[in-house]
Amino acid sequence: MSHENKAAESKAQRERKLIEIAQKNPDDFQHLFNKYYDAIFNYALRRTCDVHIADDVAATTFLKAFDQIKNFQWKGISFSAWLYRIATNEILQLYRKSKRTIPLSSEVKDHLRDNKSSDSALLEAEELVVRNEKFKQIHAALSRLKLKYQTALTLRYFEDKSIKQIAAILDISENTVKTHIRRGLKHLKEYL
Amino acid sequence: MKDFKDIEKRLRNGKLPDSDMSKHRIKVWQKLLQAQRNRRKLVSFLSISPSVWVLGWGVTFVKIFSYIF
Repeated sequence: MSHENKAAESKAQRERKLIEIAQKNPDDFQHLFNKYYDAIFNYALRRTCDVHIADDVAATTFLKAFDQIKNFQWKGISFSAWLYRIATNEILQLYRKSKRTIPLSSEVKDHLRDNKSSDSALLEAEELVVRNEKFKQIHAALSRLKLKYQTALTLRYFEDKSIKQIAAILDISENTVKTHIRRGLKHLKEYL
Repeated sequence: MKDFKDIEKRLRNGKLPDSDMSKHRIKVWQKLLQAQRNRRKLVSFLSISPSVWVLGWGVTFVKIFSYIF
């Protein structure tokens, strides 16, 4: 077994241990929450380009994971992939509700926005989005693609997930992921 | 993927950097715990045995009935 494989295996074992602990005592879910919250928030932010929606998506993702942790079984999908799957479904559901792709309608944004504007971490994240012209340009182009292509491209190029990981997150075959990425890139080339 | 090298590079370079949410995370965790507690309360309330519900409704019905007549 190579050094990389050994490291991956021991990482997976540590994760399994954390899950087992959280399954026995739900209050210990906080370890998993602390480990993955930033990743899920940043994924939702790159996907939606809106800190308030990203915040809601991340919170809902962990609330659902918290509820379902006892039923989680390590069968071909890692815990992090499971979280990404929940977050992806949440985002897709929001888009379907808004009946548009990106940007979400102002009504949905208003509905989701409460007193979070005063949170300094959210303000900083918002500043980061506002100042990053390069990202906004790419996001605008991505938003013109079909949702399945947006999802595959975001996971591949923003979240640096492998084809295998994306297939596990989206519960589709690796060949389908490759097709989504190829077609997505083809269309994106026209818009950028 | 040869044809797409440029666009792939643009995507990777245009990635929005990670935001540090460590301070915010604590607040979200507190909200999550509260939401979880509320859910548990609701679930335990709804999982009360049907016989208790019947008894409760029975007592309420008798009280209303005796109040009216």
